[in-house]
Amino acid sequence: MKSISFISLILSVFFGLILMILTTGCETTPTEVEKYEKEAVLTAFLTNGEPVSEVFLERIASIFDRYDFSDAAITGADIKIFDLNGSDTLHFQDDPVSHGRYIPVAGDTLIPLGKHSYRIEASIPNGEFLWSETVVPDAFTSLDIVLIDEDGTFYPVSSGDTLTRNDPYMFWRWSSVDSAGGYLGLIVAETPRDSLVPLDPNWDPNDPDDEIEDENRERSGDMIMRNDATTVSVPWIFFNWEGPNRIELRAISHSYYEYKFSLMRVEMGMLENPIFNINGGLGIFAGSSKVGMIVYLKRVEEQ
Amino acid sequence: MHNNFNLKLILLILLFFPLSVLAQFNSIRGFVIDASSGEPLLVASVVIEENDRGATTNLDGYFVINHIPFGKYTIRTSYMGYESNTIEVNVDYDLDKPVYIELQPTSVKLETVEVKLKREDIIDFRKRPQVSTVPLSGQMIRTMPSLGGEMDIMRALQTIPGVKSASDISTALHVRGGSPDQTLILMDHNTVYNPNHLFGLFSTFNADAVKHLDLMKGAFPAQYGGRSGSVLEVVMNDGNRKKYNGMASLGIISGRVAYEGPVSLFGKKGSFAGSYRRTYLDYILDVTRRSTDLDLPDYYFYDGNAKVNIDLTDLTTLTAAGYWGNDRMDFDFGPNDARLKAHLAWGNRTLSTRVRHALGRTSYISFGGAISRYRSKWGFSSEDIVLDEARERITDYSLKSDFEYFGWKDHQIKTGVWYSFYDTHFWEKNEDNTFVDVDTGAHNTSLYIQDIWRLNSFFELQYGVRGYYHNVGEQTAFDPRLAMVYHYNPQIRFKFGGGRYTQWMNVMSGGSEMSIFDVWFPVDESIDPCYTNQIVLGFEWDRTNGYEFTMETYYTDMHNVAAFRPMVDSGDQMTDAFVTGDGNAYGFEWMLRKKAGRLNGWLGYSLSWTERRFPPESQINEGNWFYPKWDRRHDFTVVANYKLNRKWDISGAWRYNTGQGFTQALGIYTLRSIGWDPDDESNYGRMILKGSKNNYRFPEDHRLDLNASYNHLFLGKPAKLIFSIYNAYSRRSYWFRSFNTSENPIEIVDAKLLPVLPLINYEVRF
Repeated sequence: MKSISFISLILSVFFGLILMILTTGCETTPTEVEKYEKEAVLTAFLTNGEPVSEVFLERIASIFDRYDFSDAAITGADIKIFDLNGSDTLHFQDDPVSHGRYIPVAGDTLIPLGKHSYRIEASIPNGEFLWSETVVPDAFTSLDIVLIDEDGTFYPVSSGDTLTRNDPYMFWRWSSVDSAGGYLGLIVAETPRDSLVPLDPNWDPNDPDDEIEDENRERSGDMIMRNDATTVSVPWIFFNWEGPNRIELRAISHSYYEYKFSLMRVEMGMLENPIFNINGGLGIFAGSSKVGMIVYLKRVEEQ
Repeated sequence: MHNNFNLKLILLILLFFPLSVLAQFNSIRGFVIDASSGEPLLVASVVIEENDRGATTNLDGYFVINHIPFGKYTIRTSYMGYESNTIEVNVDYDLDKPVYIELQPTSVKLETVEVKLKREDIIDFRKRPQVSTVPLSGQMIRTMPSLGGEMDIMRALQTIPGVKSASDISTALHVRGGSPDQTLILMDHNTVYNPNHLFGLFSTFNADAVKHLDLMKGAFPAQYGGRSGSVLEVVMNDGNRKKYNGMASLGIISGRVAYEGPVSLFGKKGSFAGSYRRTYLDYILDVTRRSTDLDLPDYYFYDGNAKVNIDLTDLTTLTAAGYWGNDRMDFDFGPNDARLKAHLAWGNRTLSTRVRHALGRTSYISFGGAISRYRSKWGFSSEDIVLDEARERITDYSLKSDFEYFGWKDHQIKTGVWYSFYDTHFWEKNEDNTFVDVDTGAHNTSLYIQDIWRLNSFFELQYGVRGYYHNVGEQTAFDPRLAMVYHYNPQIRFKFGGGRYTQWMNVMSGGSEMSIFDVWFPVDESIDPCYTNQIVLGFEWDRTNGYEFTMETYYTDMHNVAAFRPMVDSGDQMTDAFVTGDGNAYGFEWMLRKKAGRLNGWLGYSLSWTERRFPPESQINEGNWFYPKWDRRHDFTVVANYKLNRKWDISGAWRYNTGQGFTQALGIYTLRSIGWDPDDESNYGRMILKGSKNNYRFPEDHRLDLNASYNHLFLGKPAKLIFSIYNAYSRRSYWFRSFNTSENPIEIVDAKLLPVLPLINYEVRF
């Protein structure tokens, strides 16, 4: 039986280790942001029965600098949307007021139709070419919005009604829509941002602690539902601001449902980025049909 | 001439006649037990001094040394933390009954950490062919630095090279690149699922109730199966068979009690052990809530263990054990007219019975049944409208039997059968729609056979195979396993281990570190089971002064590794919810351990890589390889326990590791949404574009935890005042990075984990 020195073994292991670290490097993953060619982002939405009014085109901006859409905007692109089931084509031009926003060329108009497929193409002066296709969902035939109290009695809600958070909760029921990839429930406060009054009964406008931070003055909120859904219960927690609130139900294209669903997964940490549908770049091209109403929300002071 | 022929004939007959027929043999068998408590001691070494043959006790403290020629022998028995014992045994025809060898703990007056090692530790568990196995005693775990005085075996295991945590606040084990579900966790032979409390901050194993554990980091033998990575076998206290003992402990966040003693049922003797702990965070939070008017959650957890052993005969013992634990959190917040209510609850229940019997002189058999259930539920509601609610349940009904045969010289054969019925149910819904409602069941049966074969004094081989039949999809698998050891000299040995390891349960973890949201599903016909191929090469050197040095390198390739399919929003079969991919893990580890003396502990280092890849349609990293979050290149640990004097014990643990991976942002753009107010899009629509998954690393983590115990008498009873400092120099490790897009330029916010936490705990034994 041979024997070797314990100390010599330990020393050789340590030296071996140092050698291994030197040859493998302390880290093999990059410690700097990976090299990235900033891509173009194209966004356009089509609404069934409404003229297409705008398209947005920008380039990914640095996270370290102050972000301004007009600085990131791509101008001078040749953009068009055309109906794959018809012959209509809509050409766009730079919006002289807002860089990166494209508006229809004067005289051109396109009113998307339900179940029609549309294609968008954008040619950027540097040679990049972006394109995508989507289907616009058919129109709704019905949407009922009611309030349901504890014993199951319901009260229809009509446009212009005034409601409070003390009312029974809200329930929406609708007819299913052909070509819908899902549904989108929207609640948008119509009060200007500077004049927003929270519905929270504990809010005290004279209390400095209750001052609303600018980043908390968000007026839009939405929720997505699968394409087999035909009802949704909406608790008052979805309504935040006093005054007119736009309630909208949208049937959305498959690509937009996928995009919105993936955004939820991004928030949950399951995906890094949402699922875009623009070829040659990033962004989303989607269609929807809508139905909705305006209701007035009134704040109730705490009893 | 004639006489010469007869002599040749006799010699020829003698040559072919088995010598064993002429020699006379018998076996020495018995139990090694703790002299103070009567509890069996597992993996103790039993050696015949005259011929250097020996055995280690099994998990029930039983041993057999077979094929011993008649004669008088000296049997020396040793076990870590106990005085060695020597007895004389006369091996003859009449040796029929088992011997009971009692070992005296090195110190019984005050619980100390000083451990003495004798030269007689020749037949050691470590010298068997099995690779990558780290045994730890409950006593050793209880001396290690703890968080808030809550000794935790999972945290103790995370200091072993090759075992990593996803973060400082997670007790989930990532062993050699595996995910937590790849480790089979057995508590008294019973599978445990999601063993954690407080969102993973503490494990469900109450260290007061733990007697011994073995962590098999890889290349484990055929007697274990059903997981593709590693095995953690935890043995709970059997209970003192000689006297009643108790322990009560009061800490900052929880209180614990434990009690054990002899028991007699229907004239049969035995023992019992039980423990219970509960946090009082709910009371602390309630007082804080009332005094500050803050919206604070209501949270507590509790757990309890109970175990009863009854000796039906001298050779037959019946054990019944149970565990129950629950976590519960309620959080009610928001304006009074639109409160958002969150409710989370999760917990484990296990119940098992087992009968073990020393069958004749050469066999040992055990059989039992167990039920292990894990349930979790969470719900979010407002005005009694369910916004999201989910429930998950896995119940594992198992029947298991093992048979050990020691009758063949130089062989130790073990075979067994394990049947499980996995009953799982998961549903998720809101007020109007049910998203998922999956109720599955699967029968899984496996058989194994293995042998430890001592070829000569240099070579020992452990080989075996495990075969499975899974009724859903009628799937089968065969896992060959092999391990061998070459003894270069009595202190130095080289080892090799490897095999295939198949896994039949998948976890849908949803990307969260909080394993309460993990949902377990058995493999069905739409998905193949995950399997890994592992090889390990090892080198071990034991010094007679109590030092052990282990060095291992390993490679594992992984197939059909399951991950949650991020874009699933409904489904009724596995492929809807899961996507399978590939992975690998490889690395190098060493550990220098000092088991004896006033100063004991270990140094450990690992250099490791692990990667995963899923198909592009899964949307996970666009189908490219990536490092999971628990991939850490370097990991260095120092654990030290020092007995300063009779009054004071001190311990410390320092750990350094490469920073955790995270996904860095590449740029920013405007997120536009259908129907949104354009003003909101301008102000709140800034969105981060991220790079490839885990393309960046946080700075390295390092942390020092310290413990000091003051041993004294309280009303004549041994007591201990434990001061602990978690994260002594307050190096806060990074947890995750978020981007505050409401600021312009955006604000990068790094969430960091706990700062220095001085804590105190008081413990009395009675």
